[in-house]
Amino acid sequence: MEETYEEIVRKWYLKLQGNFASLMMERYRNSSLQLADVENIYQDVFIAIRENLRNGKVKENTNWESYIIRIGLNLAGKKYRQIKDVDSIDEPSDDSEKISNKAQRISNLISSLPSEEDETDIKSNLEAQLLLGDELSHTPEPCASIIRLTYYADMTDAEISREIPAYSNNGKSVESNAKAVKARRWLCMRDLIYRVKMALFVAGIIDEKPTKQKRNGR
Amino acid sequence: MEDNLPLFDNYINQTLTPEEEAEFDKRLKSDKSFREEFRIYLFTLRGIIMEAEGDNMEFAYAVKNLSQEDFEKAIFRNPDIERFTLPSDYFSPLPSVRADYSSAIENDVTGDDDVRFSSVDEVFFKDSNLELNAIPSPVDSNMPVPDSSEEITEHVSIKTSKRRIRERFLWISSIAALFIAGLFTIISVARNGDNKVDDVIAYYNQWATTSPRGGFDDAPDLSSMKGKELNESLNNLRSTYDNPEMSLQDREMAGFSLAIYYVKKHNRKEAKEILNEMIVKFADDDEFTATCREVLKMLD
Repeated sequence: MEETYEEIVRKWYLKLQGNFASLMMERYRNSSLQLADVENIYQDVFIAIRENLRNGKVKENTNWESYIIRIGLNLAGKKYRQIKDVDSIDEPSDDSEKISNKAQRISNLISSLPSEEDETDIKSNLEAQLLLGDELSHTPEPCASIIRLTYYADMTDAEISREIPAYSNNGKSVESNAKAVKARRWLCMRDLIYRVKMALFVAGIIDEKPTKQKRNGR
Repeated sequence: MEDNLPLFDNYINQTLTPEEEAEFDKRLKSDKSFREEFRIYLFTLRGIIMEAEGDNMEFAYAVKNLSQEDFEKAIFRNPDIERFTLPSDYFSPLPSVRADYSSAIENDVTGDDDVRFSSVDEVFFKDSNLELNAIPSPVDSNMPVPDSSEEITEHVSIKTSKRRIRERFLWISSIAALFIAGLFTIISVARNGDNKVDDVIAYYNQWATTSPRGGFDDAPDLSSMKGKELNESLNNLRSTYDNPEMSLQDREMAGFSLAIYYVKKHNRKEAKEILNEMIVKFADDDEFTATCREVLKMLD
């Protein structure tokens, strides 16, 4: 059943609030920031998004996940943070161009791949795309977030480790968490690719049945 | 089967050396299995990107096309909708009340109004050129940036601490006052409710005791009496009720009249006492004790 606009907005609101609140409480744990403040800031961010979209100040294809967190941290930072050093989060950055550059490279690569007659052109195959979409929607967390932040938002492992609560507030160093994110990403991607291949094989789109790789890659 | 994912990642991120890249391209042309694997990998990445873009566009359109009211409902601005809560272990320990640089901002020590913000409006709408790429950093403000934590403390004013303490006290006392007022209101409403119930019980049972169709033709109507007359009647009823030589019917009448009188006076305690007493005393009269039990049920 198709979602209403209200359901879509609420889904985003609920999807990101836990992560947002965790990040804020962790980032400003030595300030007077309370959960009620976090909730207010979070709602203010959404209201600002609406105004900025309507005024054309921000594009529709913005990476909202990062945008919401960035704006929220910025709003909270003005009020609660002791200014000692500048985080990269504070510096304005334009990731939309970076994202489209990467997307363009992938698109170019997939088009320019050499192929023989008996090889299926899966990129144009609608059924293949539907199967892929289904597998993506069944990707659990934190895999879904790690994969998206890596390949869509083009974030580094260290940046990702600061965004995902499982890694950002476990008391370990950024380096250690970055390594953990990297290791987790390989596992997530292997699992996703395996599932995609299996779905394509079962649908008869590819001929080779995938084999599940063990952790050591064999 | 080898794990080619790291190699694929490095290739699309263009972090391979020229030699490694050349080797990769060569293998793509000659190794069908390798090529197929890379194709599926790229296909998956493209799907990830397209899905993310699609989700972002969908969200943006939804936000733009919702009315203000529906939008606020979606983000739980409506207080009737349950709001999210974090588990208790998400809460960090309460910070000690100490003055810090942010307090200095609140008290406008710097004298720079632009630094303070009390609503999103001041941040986003004051500057009409504000966009994602132009979000002002606190570092860009006119505020002096302290070099050390000692300097932060030095910027604090004692007035800030007192003001905070006063604010907190006002909050606490306001909440306490509201709570007490609420409690009294509840008690008052409950009492009023109870009194109305008592009146109904008394009225119903008064009718039962004084009506010719009831059992007590001689039951006095205490509600119309006052002062000395009332006291005398009450005493007579009491002595009739307590006198074992009086007839069963007279004693029952007297006891019941007393109970109903107390109900009318909203003295449930006395009324219940007499009713419970009569259930025991007049246990042989099933019909009467049933009536007493009914009244007791109403009073509970």
